[in-house]
Amino acid sequence: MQLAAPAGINAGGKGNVMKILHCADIHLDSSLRTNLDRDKAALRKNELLSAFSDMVKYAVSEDISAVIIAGDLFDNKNISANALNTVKDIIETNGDITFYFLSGNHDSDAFVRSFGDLPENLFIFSNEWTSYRTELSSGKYLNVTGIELDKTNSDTASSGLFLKTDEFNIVVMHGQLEEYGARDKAEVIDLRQYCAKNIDYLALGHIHEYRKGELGGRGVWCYPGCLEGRGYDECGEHGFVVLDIDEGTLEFETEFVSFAKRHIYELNVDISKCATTPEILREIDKATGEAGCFGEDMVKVVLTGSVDVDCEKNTAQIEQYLSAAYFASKVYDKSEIYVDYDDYAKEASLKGEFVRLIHDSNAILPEDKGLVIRCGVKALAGEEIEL
Amino acid sequence: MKIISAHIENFGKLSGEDFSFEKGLNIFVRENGWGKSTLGAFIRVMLYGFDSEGKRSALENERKRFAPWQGGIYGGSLVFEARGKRYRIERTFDEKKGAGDVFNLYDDETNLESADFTTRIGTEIFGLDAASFERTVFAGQLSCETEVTSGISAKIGNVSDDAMDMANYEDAMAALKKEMDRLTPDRKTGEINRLSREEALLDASVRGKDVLERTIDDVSRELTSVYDKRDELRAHQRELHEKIKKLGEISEARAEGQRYLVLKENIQKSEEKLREEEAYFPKEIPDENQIDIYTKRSNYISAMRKDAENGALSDEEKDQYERLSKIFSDGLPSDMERQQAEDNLSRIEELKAGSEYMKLSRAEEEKLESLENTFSSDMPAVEEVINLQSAWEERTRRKAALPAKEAAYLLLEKQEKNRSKKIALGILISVLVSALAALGVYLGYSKDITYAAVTAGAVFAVVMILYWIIALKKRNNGELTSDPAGLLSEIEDDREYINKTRNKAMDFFASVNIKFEEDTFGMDIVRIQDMVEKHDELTRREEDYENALKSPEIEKCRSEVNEFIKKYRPDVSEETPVRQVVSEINSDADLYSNLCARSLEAKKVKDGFLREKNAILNFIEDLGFRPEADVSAKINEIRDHVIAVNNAKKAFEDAEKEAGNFEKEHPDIVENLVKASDDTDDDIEDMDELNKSFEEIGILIDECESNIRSYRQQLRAENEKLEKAQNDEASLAVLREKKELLQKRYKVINLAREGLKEAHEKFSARYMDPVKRSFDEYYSLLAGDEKAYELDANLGLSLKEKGHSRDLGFLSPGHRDAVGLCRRLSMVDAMYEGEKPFIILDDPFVNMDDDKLSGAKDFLDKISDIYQIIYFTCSSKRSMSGSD
Repeated sequence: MQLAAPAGINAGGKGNVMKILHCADIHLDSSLRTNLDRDKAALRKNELLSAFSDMVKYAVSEDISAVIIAGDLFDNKNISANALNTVKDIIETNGDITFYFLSGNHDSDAFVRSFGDLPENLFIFSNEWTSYRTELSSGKYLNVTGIELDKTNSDTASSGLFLKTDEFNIVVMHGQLEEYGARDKAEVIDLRQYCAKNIDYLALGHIHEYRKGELGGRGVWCYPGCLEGRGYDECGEHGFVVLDIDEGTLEFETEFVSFAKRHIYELNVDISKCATTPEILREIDKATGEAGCFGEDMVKVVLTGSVDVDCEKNTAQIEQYLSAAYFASKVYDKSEIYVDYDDYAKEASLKGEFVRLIHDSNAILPEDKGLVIRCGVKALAGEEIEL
Repeated sequence: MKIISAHIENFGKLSGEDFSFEKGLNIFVRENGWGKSTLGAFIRVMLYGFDSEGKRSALENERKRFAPWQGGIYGGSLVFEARGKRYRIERTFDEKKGAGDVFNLYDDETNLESADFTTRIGTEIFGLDAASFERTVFAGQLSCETEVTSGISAKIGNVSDDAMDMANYEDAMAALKKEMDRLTPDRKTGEINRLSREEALLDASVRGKDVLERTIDDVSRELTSVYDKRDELRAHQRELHEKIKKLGEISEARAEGQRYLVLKENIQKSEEKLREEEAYFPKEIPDENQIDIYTKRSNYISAMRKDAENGALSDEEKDQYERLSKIFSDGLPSDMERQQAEDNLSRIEELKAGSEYMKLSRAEEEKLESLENTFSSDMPAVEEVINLQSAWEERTRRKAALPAKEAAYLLLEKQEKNRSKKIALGILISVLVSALAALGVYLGYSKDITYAAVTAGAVFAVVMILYWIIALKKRNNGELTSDPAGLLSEIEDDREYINKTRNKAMDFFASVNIKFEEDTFGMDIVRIQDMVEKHDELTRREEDYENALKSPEIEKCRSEVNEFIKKYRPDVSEETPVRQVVSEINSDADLYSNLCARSLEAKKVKDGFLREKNAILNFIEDLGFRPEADVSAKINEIRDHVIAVNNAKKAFEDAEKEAGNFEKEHPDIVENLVKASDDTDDDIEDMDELNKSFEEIGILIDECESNIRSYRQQLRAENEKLEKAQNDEASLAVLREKKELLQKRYKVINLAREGLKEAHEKFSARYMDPVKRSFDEYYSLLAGDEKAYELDANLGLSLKEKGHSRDLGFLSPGHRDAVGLCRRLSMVDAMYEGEKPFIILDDPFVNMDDDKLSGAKDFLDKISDIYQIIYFTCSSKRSMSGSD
């Protein structure tokens, strides 16, 4: 379905270059309780909202003409009044920017319905192909075309897509690329079906990390990822993508803009050479330093390697240390206990007897033997039973 | 290991001595002081060097202790077999410090130096430090008892120097048990159990999440459906609105046409009205300002007329005016005159008030009247009353003295007759008579003034008696002379005075109309005196008051007032109070003055009224109207018509203007508008239907909105539940993670605990049991009794008796030595599974009874089968084999 050119989209701001911002998966109103306590979750929730607001301010400052939101602007169907009012206000008070909003699997129509009459600078899509056509300063045209995928249309959607070859075509969809498999009730997008469709830029949403690839025929596909990481499964840089489109040649460039306020890290720290907690903390410091972690970040440390059975390792102390150092942290101890059984082979002591016995036991899983030995040895030494 | 030979160059008391040693038992029987212990120490020092070198005392410091007594080279050599080879140690010692010591090891067969061992050769061969060596293979004199060193334990354990962990076994197990109890999933107090319960709650909440999500989807679908329906209705409503709007416009045009016709009609009607109003006026129509002026003037003369009417005197006032004109025919009293009259009246009252205090009160007047009635015939003078009172007092005095005098007289008369005998009697009688008289008088005059008289009488009687006594005495003495005649005469005078005074008093009482009573004379005469004095006082005050009212000033004021009254009210009665008359004159004067002024003002108003009325009448006539009596009514009528003309003119002009404006605003549609009015009522019917439909759709939209609100509320509630379930899910994940860790911990601790228990049993079986078996065997051999000993994890021994462990200190010295030796050997057995060491026993059986020595021999025989035994003793009884 071809619609009239949106009045809100401006011709290129500087020279003959039009800038368009592509974001997705903002997930406003996320609960965020999986990794954060109640207070920090509330704080982070507000930060998500601020991130969206700051992104639009960035768009204003960079003379960006349009913002494409490729789904999952909100996290659930019940939108809080605060989030709804804030987003509405941002859209309504930035009339010079055209907003293209495509609903994702987390969105409901509550957001769009809340407007009554849509603002002139907000354009939405449906479960049929909808296209907004803009004439550029060169006389050429730019199309922003999108469809909201569901069970009824995802298989056949590509067949209904027709784009002119001499125009710049942006296609917006929210779903999972087939190579990643379906998850979280999202529809699957088979990229092969969108090759040779005259798509210049396939603006996708759903995957929470920045990914980009070539699309057969011409153009690229791109997930901008989420604006802010929410959990330890969303590590790495987060932000949005800005397209610079030459209005004359219709050539374009994309740039990923890292925008997240907090970064999320998952660090594997090998503590094999550590014999004490301070040594482990030094290893952690080394790893966080190398990764470039800052106090406002969220850091998950996974202890790996194998430590001696006598190693003094206080996980609670490590957790406290990280908790004081970062906005949020987690410690997973996946290190193994190393036991040099030769040391105990002939030791005529209860400890030696115990180690040999556990070593020879068939009833204990091999991966548990180190822990059992560590436990017994610590108990015999009268120390805290720290596994 | 086996010692072959030893050469002592100089060591302690031994010097230049050579010893050879055989395999098995080597017995050295030497007397005390020979140096058996020194030889034993030499062998030890050759292997381990000196012990206790830090001690100052020569006894405790071995280097000093074993320094050669006779001097010379300090040391010697020791040949031994170890690990299949034969070695020789040559060792010399500096007497002061180890730095001067020399150690050389030779292969005794090749005589070449060997580097197989160092200066720590003892430790290297036996795997034991010096202390452990002394506690096992070297049993010094009087030191059979032994202790387990960590070195011994290590040696027994074969490797570890940390064999003490057996001692920690119980604590370790307790700690593990405690941790398992804390974690246990089997009891409510256990952390895992608590987490499981919490998990069950959270799990229940999370299980409902899918249902909630489905519900939310359903509600969302319904909401969307209602939204769609509402939007459709709104679209339909908008269409209807457009239709209604169009019809409204047509209806409006029709209304406008009607309005134009009305405007035209208004012009015609207003013109007719104007002409009608103008017809009232015969001549010209005055302008509104002019008529307003005359309206005001007519209103003014109405007021003037009312003022004139109000200002005119009433009939009563006219009568008063007539009456007062006569009174004040010579003019009104001046203010000064009126003031003077008022002042005089005030002065008179003021002066009277000044004398008021003199005026008798009502009670006083009544009192005076009463007194005058009492003394109606003759008012006695106060002096007269006082004189009578004095006379009465004299009478009383004389009357009181009279009995005494009479008694005295009788006494004198009898004296004359019986001068000596009866004088006393006479006196006594006189006294008694006087006393009685005084008493009688006293009883008669109980109060007031008579009391004085009675007292005087009594005193007088007493004086008289005294007098007569003195007189008699004088007479007895020849000094007193008597005169009865004179006394009788005196008595007669007194009696006369008494009677005379009484009569006088009676006359006086009769003159004042008061009954005379001699008994109450005193009180009565005082009362009369008071009455007279009161009468005199009241009479005097009455006279003073009357005199004050007749003062010259009052008379003068009164005269002036009377003159004033006489001038203006000559006819007034003298009985009329002066102040009232003066007040009436003043009041009349004021009234007369007021009536005169009002009469004058009324005349002025009336003249003005007539002038104005004539002017207005002229104006009315000028307008062509006939003059009427009520000019104000006429003027108002004319004014109303002027206003009506003006209003009609304005209405006419407005109607024309409005129609003109309408024609300007709708220049081309006047006719069309009129035509539009010809439309049928069908449109109106359509309009009604449309409005009805519009309202019905509005109601449906409201229903949709209500449903939307309801669904949104439901959605909000379900989402809140979902959020809680999601939070619970997050909490559940954390909890399960924690629980999993704790379960793993619990499992690991349990495994460790079981492992430790099993290891403990095995360890005990492997290392302690052989030691114990060995000990039991040696002990049975050596002591030959059935005492039971218990070996603990530290290889410590205790005696077990009747189920209780007892310290070895309770044993006899012989038993303690036996236990010690057996313990040493059992430990040595356990320590050296391969190459066996030599054993030095320095007279170990010294504390044993002789009957135990056979056991000792058996013991030595037994151990010498296994070990090279170097046995020192000073007793042939304990020589065992009897030769060295």
